[in-house]
Amino acid sequence: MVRVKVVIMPKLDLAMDSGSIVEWFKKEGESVKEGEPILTIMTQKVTTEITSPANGVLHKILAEVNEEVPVGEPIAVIAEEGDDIEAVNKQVKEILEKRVSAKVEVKEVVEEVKEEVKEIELKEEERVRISPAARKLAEEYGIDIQQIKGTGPQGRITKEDVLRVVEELKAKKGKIIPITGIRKIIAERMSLSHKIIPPVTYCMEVDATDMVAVRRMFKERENIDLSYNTLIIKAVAKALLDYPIFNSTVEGENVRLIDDINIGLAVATDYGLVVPIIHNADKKEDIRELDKIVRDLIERARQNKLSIDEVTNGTFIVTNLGMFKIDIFTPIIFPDQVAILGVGRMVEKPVVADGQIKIKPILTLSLTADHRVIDGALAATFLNRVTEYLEKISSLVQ
Amino acid sequence: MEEWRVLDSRSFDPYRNMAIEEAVLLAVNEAKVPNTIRFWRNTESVIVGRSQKIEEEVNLDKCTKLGVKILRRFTGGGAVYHDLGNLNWSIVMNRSSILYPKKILEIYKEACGAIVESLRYLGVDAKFEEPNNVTVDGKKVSGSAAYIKKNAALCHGTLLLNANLANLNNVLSRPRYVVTNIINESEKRSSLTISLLKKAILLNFSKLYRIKFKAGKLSQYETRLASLFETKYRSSPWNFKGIYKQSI
Repeated sequence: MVRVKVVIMPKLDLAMDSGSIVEWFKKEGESVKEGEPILTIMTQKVTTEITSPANGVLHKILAEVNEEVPVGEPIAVIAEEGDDIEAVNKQVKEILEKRVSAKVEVKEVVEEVKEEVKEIELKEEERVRISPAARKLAEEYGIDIQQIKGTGPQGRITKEDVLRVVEELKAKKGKIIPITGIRKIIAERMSLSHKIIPPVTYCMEVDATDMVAVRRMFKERENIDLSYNTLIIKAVAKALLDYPIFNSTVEGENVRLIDDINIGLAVATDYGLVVPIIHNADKKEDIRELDKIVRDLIERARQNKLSIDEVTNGTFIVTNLGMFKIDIFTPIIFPDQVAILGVGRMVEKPVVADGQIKIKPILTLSLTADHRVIDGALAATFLNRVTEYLEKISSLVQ
Repeated sequence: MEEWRVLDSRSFDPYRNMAIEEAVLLAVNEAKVPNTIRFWRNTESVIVGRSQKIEEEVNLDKCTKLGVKILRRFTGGGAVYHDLGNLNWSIVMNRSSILYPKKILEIYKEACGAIVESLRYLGVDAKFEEPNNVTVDGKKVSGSAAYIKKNAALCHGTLLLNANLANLNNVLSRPRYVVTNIINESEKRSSLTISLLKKAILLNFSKLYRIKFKAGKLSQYETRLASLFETKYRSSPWNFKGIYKQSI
């Protein structure tokens, strides 16, 4: 017996005779839970989320986004996990045929049904062919023999078929962690970015000798533990002044250069990724002031104490994985920006300079840029400029 | 008596305000924050409905010329014009609230009903016109839209006090209603202010539905959600859905 559930366009108020599909949260083949929102519909006046009537799999979507569907018409079919696909497909076909032939009837039926969901039960007429050994094994593992596809003569289920299903079930097990809340939104943002932005990542090594020297100088002279992130933000802000296209956003067919240079610093916290923004980073002349701001933002990001002003309106992001011993990576651009700079760890390496092998602190920058707006040569020029500023950072800070 | 939070947005940034709007709905849906009434205003902008085609609703050239921002909201309905002369109000309630609508269109009756009462309280002869409009002298002063989630509902609307109607008619290509400002220079209503409107709305919601209001602020959770949503509202693929083309 196969049981499918049909999601129909609900009648949400008396005046409603149809609704349009705004968005499907789930794709065909994805698991759904009873009560979980699976799509958004819009009536003439209200936008509403529709929840799944049952646990199972979203087997078939019957109405696409923007499609106007009369009240009572089927919009999706939910099958139970492990249902026989052929039997389910047969059901879907019947539903679709019914939809074509009975458009007028549907409305009347709906008045009686008055629920979002109509359950249809189908009885399998055919007897299941199965060997005695296989039946015993299936019973042992508690497997419904209706769910097993037989490969023996005339579709007879063999012992091997049962063992195959057992293996499949074993492989499927594992802890399920639902993607919800902020995780879900990060997932959507990142997917959106990958969908629309053609990214290219460019990597370049930086001789960090001067950065180390500056840091030591501030420690000895003023007892200040200057953060490398501060130095990097300083250099990036200056390079963005030189190349404003990296501080821009794509709007339809145009690129808008943004006047303010607001640099975000990606921070890993117990609550997930947070990106506090250093507003007008280019205007913070004094490195001590900039460092104070950066440290304060990072600290409050970790304590989950940032205000909305401090996490919005970023124009360019720096993401540093150096502390996690990453050298090179391919950061993803935020959807309303055109580039992002990844910073790797600083590590001492042998470098050939003036014909001699010297040991120098080296860090690697990974710049991802939107190729719609920024070509390779331009990206390289910008990255070179950042590198130059970092290698002579002592001339930028006093 | 239900206790609700009042949020009075400091920001006039339309992208941010829309992001906060969606964040509050999500947080109320997850029962992380109390039921909320929110007031917000935007600088010059056109907000189109979730499924509308921008090229049909908005005069893009005029927007560029006048510096009017364009964005898409997450609720349905028609395109509206905002500026600082327009007060936006929103109510966001959890399923457990007495205001959570049992029938879907009730949400407008409840919300617009209170807006009408507030205007009458201030001496303005306002009427509720089904399903979701408030009119004065037969002209629309407030339109609203709603979003129902599994565990929460949001209803938000405009309220034209003294918006730039010339701008409004310039940037919307096909306004569906004749609109007007509540303030009409020739009449005594000119003493009305945004702040007075807000007070009247709180008072009348409170009287009608026995709600106690308490000033509040965004939670950290909402703040973080809003920062993520803001990326969406600032982005072309969302706002210019349909006419947005990739160009190399």
